[in-house]
Amino acid sequence: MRKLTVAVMVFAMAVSSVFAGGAAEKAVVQDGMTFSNWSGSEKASSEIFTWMIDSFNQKSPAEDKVVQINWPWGDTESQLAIRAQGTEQYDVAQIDIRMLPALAQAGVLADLTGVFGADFFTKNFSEGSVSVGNFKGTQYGVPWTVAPMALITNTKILKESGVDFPIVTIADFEKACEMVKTNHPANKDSDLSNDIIPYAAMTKDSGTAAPDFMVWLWTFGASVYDAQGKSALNSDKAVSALTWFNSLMQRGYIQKVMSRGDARTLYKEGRVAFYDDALMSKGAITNEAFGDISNYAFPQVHPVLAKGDKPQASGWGHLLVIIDRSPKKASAKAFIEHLISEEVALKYFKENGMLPSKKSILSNDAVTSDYWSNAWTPVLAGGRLAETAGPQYAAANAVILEEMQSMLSGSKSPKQAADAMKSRIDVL
Amino acid sequence: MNRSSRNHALMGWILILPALTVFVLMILYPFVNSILISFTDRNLIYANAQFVGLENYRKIFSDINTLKLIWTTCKFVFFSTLGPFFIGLIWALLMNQKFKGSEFLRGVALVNWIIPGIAIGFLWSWIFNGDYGILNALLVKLGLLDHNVIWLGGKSTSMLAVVTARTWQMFPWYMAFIMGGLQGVSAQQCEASRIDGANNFQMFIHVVVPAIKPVLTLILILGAIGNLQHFDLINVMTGGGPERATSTFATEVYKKAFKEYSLGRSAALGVVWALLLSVFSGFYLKRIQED
Repeated sequence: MRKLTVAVMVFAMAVSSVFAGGAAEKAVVQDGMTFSNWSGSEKASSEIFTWMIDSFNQKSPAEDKVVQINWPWGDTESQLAIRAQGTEQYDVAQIDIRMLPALAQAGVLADLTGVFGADFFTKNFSEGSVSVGNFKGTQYGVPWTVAPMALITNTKILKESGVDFPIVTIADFEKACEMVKTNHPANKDSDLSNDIIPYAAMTKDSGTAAPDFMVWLWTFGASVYDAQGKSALNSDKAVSALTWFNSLMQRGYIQKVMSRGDARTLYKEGRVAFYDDALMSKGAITNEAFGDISNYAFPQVHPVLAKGDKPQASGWGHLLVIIDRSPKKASAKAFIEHLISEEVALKYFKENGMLPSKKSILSNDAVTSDYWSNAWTPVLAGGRLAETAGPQYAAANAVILEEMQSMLSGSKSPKQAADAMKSRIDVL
Repeated sequence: MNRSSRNHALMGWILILPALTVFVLMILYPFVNSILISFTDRNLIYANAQFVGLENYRKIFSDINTLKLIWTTCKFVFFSTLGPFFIGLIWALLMNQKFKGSEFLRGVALVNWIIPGIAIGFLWSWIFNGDYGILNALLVKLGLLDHNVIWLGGKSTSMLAVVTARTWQMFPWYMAFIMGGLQGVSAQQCEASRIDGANNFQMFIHVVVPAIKPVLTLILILGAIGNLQHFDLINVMTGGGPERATSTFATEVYKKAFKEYSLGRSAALGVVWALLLSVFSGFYLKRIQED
């Protein structure tokens, strides 16, 4: 009886494995199209996303109506990669530019030159914007919003702390942080619940902490990888960057376990003087209690090590992509054209501060006269993709974060943390 | 085998077939498939994979963090089992006194256990938050702190935070089981021990504990197994950080699979985890057989 039981279970497993494969089958075509994204589920942008989709659906036949699928930003890369291996129909997706290498290499994305034509990109977008949607010579993404990240400054807090000088160098930045920490009235009273954090640097999640730290690495002239692809995190310049970053913790300018969400919440409450964020942060940090955003928020370029150095910035942007298995590429093209059309792009810009990507719309009065987009202009000049963008680099981000946390907690010196980063990344 | 007993056997198979199907599809097949994946370089992003033999296991056992992972898992299991166990025991003994309102209190205590783990994780993340958490606010108000403590940012304080949350979540479960066991304690034996001059503590040690020992052993083993598998609270509150201070097998397997996309390595880690679990499962099965 026992042998029979085992035999039945093995047979059942063998049978179930036939159905459990499922990869590389044709997508099941269904009515309508899907638009997968994360912004549609975020409070700051859910309304505008619903409007974008509804306005398209109103003028579309039933077979082309768009249904929204949401997941958190952090899950987008893995969700698209896994689901593209199944049979569900996925058509259009919003992706972060950092996700492009992984998804392109996985064969998830369609070559858009075949869908839109090569002229479409050169005619409508700047070279820089087009390039962020290109991977190894193939155009996979339509630029939706492209702008490097900036150091978002709370000018109101700086003023209240007596900071009345431009922040150009690292030394200026440190001086401003010290003045915020010691001079701001909220840091002098006994109520700890409204203390101002000088710099809400990312120290919690590897997906944000590592790319944000890379900007400071580049500022010090260091990099994660050398020309041979080996980790260069134990170079003298990298150790200098780590030592400097560690000094921010020792001087009380930064905190442990700070996530982007925490930083935005605290900034909105008027409790953060500096933090790193992207153009789309406007919706997340707007606080009507402080009046117009121009009264308190200013996106500035990162400070440089020495005057005359080129400011560094982390590339940021959103792309619209078409899933290669989509049986509705023509309809997906129409939906993407709708999303980047003047009417929709200007409304998205007005509601969320997301810069349009098309050249013709960038010169629109509504954009050129807007405080937030104008303030971002100096930042637009810079920006490079994080060195650890790509599926094989996710582990590297985790190593960078862990060793950084060890350093910030005092378990390791900056040199020890740098050596550990190098030795661990090289064996990944 | 005659016709009647064949029919009898067939009927038995038909009745267990649904459960067997679910077991094979949901447990056995994924388990065996995971073992097979652990010998490949399967990646979440790429569909194709190659056989790599014991390479994933070699990487796991040569990783300097593996020993730390085992130690952290043991620490979490130890404190998250004993903490709610003792609180549940005390609560059960109190509720067993059947005073006015004890039924209500017993029901209220069970609410902790009913709330989903993710919701509890977010709740305690807010309580322990360094900038706007209620714990810091309370301790500062009482004059016990003069600066905000980043509870989830320190190696020891983060473990304390997740163990506290887990204790709060699980002590009703222990309480419920122990209360069931306490119903089987002989009232005559308790009375006899009182007559013999035993105080409360002596009665507890010499009468109550021996009577409920099978229940206590069982819930400790089941509690340890549950904590070995636990994921929600740790993932929400700390994500396994800072510096892997709260990284257990559950969070590490998740991180390897869905953050680093290394399914092969994640599966290998899962196999090691299953072996660790099997030790406790062995105790449990032995316990059941003894009963």
